[in-house]
Amino acid sequence: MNPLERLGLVVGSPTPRLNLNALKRQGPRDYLMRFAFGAVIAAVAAIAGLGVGDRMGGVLLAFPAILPASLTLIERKEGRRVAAIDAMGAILGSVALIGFAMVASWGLRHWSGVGLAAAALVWVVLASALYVLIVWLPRRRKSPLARARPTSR
Amino acid sequence: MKEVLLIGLKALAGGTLVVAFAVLSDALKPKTFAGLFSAAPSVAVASLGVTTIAFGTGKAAQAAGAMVAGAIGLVAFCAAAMVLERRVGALTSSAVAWLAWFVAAGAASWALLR
Repeated sequence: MNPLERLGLVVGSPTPRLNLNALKRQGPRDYLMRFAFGAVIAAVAAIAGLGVGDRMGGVLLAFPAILPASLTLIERKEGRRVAAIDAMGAILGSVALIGFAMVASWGLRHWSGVGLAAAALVWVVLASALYVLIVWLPRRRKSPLARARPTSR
Repeated sequence: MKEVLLIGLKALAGGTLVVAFAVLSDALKPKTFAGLFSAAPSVAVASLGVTTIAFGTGKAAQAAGAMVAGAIGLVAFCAAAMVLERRVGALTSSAVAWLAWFVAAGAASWALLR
């Protein structure tokens, strides 16, 4: 069995899909809270950049301010197990964020603003590739065997 | 005055992008895939974008280079939160995971940026 499944971190079909009905469970307060966390960390990073230097401001651009808010909201509505599953996905997203930062640093110097767009694209590609390699493919490979049933002794 | 305006702009753009990614994450299934967007570069894109427009690419590139250390810290944060979440809940796991971020981001800064 896939180790992620054994830990209960992957359940159901791994194929990504949109479920717009899930948005009905979120209230305006939930999004207001996330907006506030995002705005505060962006402001703190900007102030640190001005006061201490661009390097400190840069490190703070990846400060986990929104994740705790998300985990708290998910835990309240869907339970601890689902919150842990969300954190598992966030590990893959944050590995892709390392790639984003590296490409942004190089791209901004060589391609100006286009470098930032390229870095965002790299994040999307890397995050998706990590999901496919670590979550989706192992489950797809397992599926036919799991479905197979002995027909005779 | 210009600095205050830029801080306000970064806060507004950062908050807006965070909400945009949160809506996307809430509307996606399964949760493992939706979780990817919890670590999307929302604040970074907003902040680096405003810095590039206001000061040019030099300052933004330096900030992006330093962000590598913060992103390494974020991997440690997420791993700690994932392991602890089911045992102690979001509040306690986030508090411990923040410690993991400070240690990992601090070590990476020391190793990469000195």
